[in-house]
Amino acid sequence: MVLNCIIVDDERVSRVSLKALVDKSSRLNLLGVAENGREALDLVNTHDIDLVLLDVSMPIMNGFEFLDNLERRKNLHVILVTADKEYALKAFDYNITDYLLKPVSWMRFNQGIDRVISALTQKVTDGLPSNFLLLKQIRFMHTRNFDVLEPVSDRNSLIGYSYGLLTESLDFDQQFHALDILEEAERDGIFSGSLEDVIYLCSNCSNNYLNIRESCPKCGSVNLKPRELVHHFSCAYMGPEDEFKSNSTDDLICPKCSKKLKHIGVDYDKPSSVFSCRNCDNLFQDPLLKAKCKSCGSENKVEHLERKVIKKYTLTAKGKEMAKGNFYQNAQQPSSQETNGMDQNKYYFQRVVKSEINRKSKADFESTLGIVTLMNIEILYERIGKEGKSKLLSELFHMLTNTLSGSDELMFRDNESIVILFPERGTDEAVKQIKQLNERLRELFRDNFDGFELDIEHAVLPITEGKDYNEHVTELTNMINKSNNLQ
Amino acid sequence: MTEFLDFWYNKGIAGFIGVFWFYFVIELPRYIFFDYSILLITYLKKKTGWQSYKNARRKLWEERPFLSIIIPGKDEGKHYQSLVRSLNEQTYQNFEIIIVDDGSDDESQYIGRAMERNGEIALFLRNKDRGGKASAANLALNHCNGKYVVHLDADCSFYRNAIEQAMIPFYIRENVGAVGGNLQVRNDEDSLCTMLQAIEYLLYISVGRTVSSSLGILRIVSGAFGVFRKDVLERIKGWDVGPGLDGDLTIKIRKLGYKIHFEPKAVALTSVPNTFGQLTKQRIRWSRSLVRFRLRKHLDLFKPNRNFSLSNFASVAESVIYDLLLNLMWYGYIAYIIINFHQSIGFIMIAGLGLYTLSKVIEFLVVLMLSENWENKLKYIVYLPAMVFYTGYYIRFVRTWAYFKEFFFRSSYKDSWNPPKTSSEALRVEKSYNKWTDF
Repeated sequence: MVLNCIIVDDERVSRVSLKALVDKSSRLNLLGVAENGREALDLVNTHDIDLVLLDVSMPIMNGFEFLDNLERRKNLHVILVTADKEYALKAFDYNITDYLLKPVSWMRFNQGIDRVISALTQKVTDGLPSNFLLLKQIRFMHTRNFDVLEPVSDRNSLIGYSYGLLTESLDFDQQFHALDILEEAERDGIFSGSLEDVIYLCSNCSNNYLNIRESCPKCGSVNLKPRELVHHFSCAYMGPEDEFKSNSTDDLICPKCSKKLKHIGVDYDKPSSVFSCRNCDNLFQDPLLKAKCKSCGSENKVEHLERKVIKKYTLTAKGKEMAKGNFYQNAQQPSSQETNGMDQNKYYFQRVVKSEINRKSKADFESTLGIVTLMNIEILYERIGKEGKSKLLSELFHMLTNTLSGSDELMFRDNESIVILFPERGTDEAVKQIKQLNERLRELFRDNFDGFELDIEHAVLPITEGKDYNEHVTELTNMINKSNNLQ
Repeated sequence: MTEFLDFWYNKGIAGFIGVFWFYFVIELPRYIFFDYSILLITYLKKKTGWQSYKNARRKLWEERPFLSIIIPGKDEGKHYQSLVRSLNEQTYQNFEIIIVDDGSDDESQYIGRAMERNGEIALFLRNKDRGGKASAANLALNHCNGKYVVHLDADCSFYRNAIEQAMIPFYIRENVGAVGGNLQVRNDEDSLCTMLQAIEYLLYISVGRTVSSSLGILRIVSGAFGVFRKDVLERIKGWDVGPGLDGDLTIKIRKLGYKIHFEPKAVALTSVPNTFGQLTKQRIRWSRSLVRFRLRKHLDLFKPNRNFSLSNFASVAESVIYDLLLNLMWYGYIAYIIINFHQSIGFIMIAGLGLYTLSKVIEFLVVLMLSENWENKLKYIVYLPAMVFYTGYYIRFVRTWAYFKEFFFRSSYKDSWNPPKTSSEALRVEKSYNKWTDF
């Protein structure tokens, strides 16, 4: 699991030493550095941040002022990093995750990160998917418009299979958690699973790279000698095959009656075999099957290996709703919770776009952000009154979500403008899609409001790394204004 | 009733003996006078031998030899747990347990494997294909580490001191090659059939084998409970193809010049067949071995060559004379009675029943005298009249039938007790026997 983090500290020395710790950790991805609370707020509002490493004494806006102004949300964790012990009590009133004293040791730093990760992977009980990583995974699936999460056989994964983003987000030695997360999601009705394979993992480190072989049940040695047992029918003698072998010829001679064995199944048989241990001379038929873990070196009895099932997971209707946050549910009961729903949608949309911008820095793909502005809608709002406006907005939302393809996301920026994200689609495709949408909108208004002809403007912008969410949206708005002015 | 009394009054004692001459001439001397005298001698010897018994016991505990207990068998898994529990209760504890599962069709292999893994037994060996009891025992022998080998049947259980008692004779006398344990019936109250077998075991194993052992002519160490010196078993190279392999093994040990001892105090309990049908099959199997082994394979015991031994000759001759020849003579005797006394056959049968019942009671008194828990055995007395029919007719007919079939048809080689592959090979070898009796 990799967390996006920022460092907030006014002292350069502290910033450098913290940055060194962050760079050393494979679990952290540094998204930015701020010198005071104000800058930190900007970073938090414009980036998809999971963790803030926060100093207390800073000019302009100190650490506590930053916390006062921070719009608290789930999955955003704060670790206070300060040279003063006196802030400790006060700090925990702010519900921070950990409190580190400068200078910060590598071990103590890691403990702090452990705390954040365990908090993030803990189940929250508000109807959202049970786990932060799961949420990331299903959002990703939703925005990429695929419903099926297939296990991919992967030699480099801890468990021999990988589940896309979910496995990638976990540290190598934690990758088995992907299975627990998915199992739980299936129990919660987010996925439906169908069995693909069964795997056995090291009971110590959950590694799938195991070497299974026979060993002596007494001393554990793998230095075994298997021997077939020969039964000579006529004299009933039974013993290991080497007792029947003569030095001079290839014949098998019975050590009891000195007869030559002629024909298997007629005068002799080999009904079983035994193993003897070259290390301790123990003799047995049933060797102990042991699996040596190639990663941690533990010797597992095969019956003690951890058995896990590998399933193909399909996102359920409930899972799809959850991928969109709570908004979709609320839109179905628009009257009382509409404003709240809009807010949540805004927050959700921003997170999705921020993730998209982050991802852009790591992978090569094209995604497009578009805007649709209903230029003369204010006239209509005045005509239909406050209640009519609210109803219209709700219907618009329904109509737009039904028209757009499953992976596209939209947000009402205000009562006039709708911002749309087209993940992994270029500007041409986005424009084509928006034009269709505009056609539908015009029809809708023509059919419902006599004499009102809707005037629509649109603009599209490829998502670019290096620009944050606000910069993208502002640029889009400017494009609309510009084209409007031109007209 | 008066006619019956008149009949016998007229006959007089001489006439009575004349009618039942077979009993008075052949059976009374053998089963009453002879047994009683030998038992008396044995008893007196024991009195004087108390010190040597104590010394032997001390020697056993000083040496504490390691024993290998081997249990070959098929489909016996259900008995493994109770058997091992019974062995773990033994006063003598220096042993390993080796179980051989001879191609069982039931769950024996899982039970045995689990016990091996839990350390309850030292070794569990399984043959996927059944090879017969002899090969299973030989496989076990091949993996024994003990100085002595205890051969047991899985369905037996043992008195706490059974193994200790069975070991002591090795330290009383020199040159003892094997010691047979005493077998008694566990399921005597299941049916009339098991009740009669319980009495039979007491008469013919507990008492009968004590007598044979005292005379030095014991010809069988029962496979259900026998202790063998391992070096002796290795010299005779283990068991040969059965059925009747335990008697065969005993003769092979005798031929090497070792003594065979029966120890009445080493008691094992065994389950016997519940019905006469099952019992008949078992006894036919047992009886065939007289022909197969004593008259065919070990016929050389009768030859006065340089290996001739009087006690070995006697041990086989006693069985051949009493079990085979006199058994055949009995049919002549019955014919004689029918021809001469057919008009008064009813009187003779009633008197015969009385006479034989009385004889059984006298025989049974020995059992009571020798038993430590004789009170428990009093219940058997009421069944003694039935024993007259059981041993006098039933067992006799079964034996005759078995001898006949084996003598003329070698039917033991067709017995499903052994897999056909081993029987057919054994038969082929038997036809060239006299070349093969070197040991």
